[in-house]
Amino acid sequence: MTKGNLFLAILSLLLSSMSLSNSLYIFVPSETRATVVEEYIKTSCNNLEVTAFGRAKDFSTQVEAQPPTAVLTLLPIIERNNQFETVLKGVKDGVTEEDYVIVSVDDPIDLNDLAGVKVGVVDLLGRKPMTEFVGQLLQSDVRLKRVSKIEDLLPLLSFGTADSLFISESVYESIKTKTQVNLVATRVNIKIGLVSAAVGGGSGKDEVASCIRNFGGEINKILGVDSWL
Amino acid sequence: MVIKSIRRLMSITTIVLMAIVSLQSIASEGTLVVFQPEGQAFDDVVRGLSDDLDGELDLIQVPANSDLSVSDISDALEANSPDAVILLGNLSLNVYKEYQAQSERDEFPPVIATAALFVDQSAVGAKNLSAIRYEVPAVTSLVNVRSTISDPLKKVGVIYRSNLSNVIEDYIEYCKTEGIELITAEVPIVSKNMANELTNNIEFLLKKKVDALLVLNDNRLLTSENVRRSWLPILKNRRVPVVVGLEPLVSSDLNLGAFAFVPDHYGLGVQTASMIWDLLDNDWEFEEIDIQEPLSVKKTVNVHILNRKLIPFSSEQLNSFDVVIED
Repeated sequence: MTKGNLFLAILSLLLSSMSLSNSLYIFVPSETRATVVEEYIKTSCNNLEVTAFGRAKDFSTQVEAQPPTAVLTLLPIIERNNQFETVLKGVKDGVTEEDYVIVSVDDPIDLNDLAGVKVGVVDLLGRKPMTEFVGQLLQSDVRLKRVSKIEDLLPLLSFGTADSLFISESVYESIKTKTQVNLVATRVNIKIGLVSAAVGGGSGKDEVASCIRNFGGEINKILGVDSWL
Repeated sequence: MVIKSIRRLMSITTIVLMAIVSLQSIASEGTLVVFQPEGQAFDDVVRGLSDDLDGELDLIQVPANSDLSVSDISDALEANSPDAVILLGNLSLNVYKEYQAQSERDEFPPVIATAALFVDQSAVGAKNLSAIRYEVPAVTSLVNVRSTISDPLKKVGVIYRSNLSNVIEDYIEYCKTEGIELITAEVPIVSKNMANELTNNIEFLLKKKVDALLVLNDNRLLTSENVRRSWLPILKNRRVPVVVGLEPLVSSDLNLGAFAFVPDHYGLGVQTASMIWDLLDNDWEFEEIDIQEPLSVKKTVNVHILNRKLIPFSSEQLNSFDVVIED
């Protein structure tokens, strides 16, 4: 075997071993940057190829182009995608769902008159599916104003681009710690699943589950959960 | 026989053409023309726009560099009959205004201008135009600084040239809603000795005991001479966080800005798409002519400078910054 052939053989072995390793894609809207989330999770899951995304669009494009072994993301995204089976659910305060609220400035929003109201959200699914998803939850034909990042929600509201925000209670609490704008939350009795892990058709379920169960408190806090079920 | 074949061929061609046209109308709900200068920032705006449009609308990109002419714009609009036009950068906006001034048309498609400096002023005279400002609003930067540093942030100083007084008035109002008082110092539009004007006004603001200093992205205030003679000598050893709007001003070598907030160009594209969806929902007419603030920013913090100036901060909050400079 020539040196060139030997090099090619080693390269091909390396590439095939790389493609065989299990991969985990993460998309969890958070104020923590995706690069930081990725670094944290890599330390806990060093046997997985971990990639974190900061935007829903980048996540969905990559899932389509190069499907991973598993995904770690919010339950509505897993359910919409339909290619992954949920294997672990994030738990916070003993439950796997979180309350959502409608947040406005100074005055509460009239829940009986939501039609046409500009409602700001972090985009999880893209324009049409997200409009449909939120419309069904709120049972009203609202005008959705989508942003890519959680931190863009406050400007969306304070500059008047949206009349209100549809956000989880934890995001509301977090925004309140940063602003002195008089935010008012209206309860809507809607719960949405927390971050969950789901696997595709192939193997790797046990490996992914074991890695996630071993997440430390700091990673779980960033992901908005305190344990896994 | 030959004529019959030709007629048959023509009718088949017609059917195929009609099918193509009808398929196109199914595939796209509208056509947009974007005048796009070269450069990574403009590419990122178009990527954000295109990602959000997700193929639902046709997006036609027309180069808009220094040779862009009124006839280029006229040709692009004639050829594509867009439902809306997007202008990126000041040059596109200026040439488009010339096109509108020279055109005999009574009506123009709706236009959205973005990634153009001081668009409130540059867009004056344009018809049927809404815009997204390029400058990061003071309140956005300062709310982020307040969440990061442990010291109180109640009074912030800012120096501006008198031509920006309208922008500053908006900044003051927005900051007030966040409990931040903006202490302003106005300098003339033109001065023979701007460095001295700046030195006096920086000293004035420091005497007012401001908790931070906001440096506007005004190239007249930020000439290398003004940075060397005014900003740096006074501020480099003062225990006051300096907030800038340009990434190079936050480098450790320069030792000026501790925080930089710049527009997120991808985010500008997504915000433009949001205005496009509103247009689509309203039969390609603006509900109101609007100049919006940019919603999304990229954040840089220089921890080395914060430490050197003994400004305490939350380590956890650093995770929300796009760039953290540590040395």
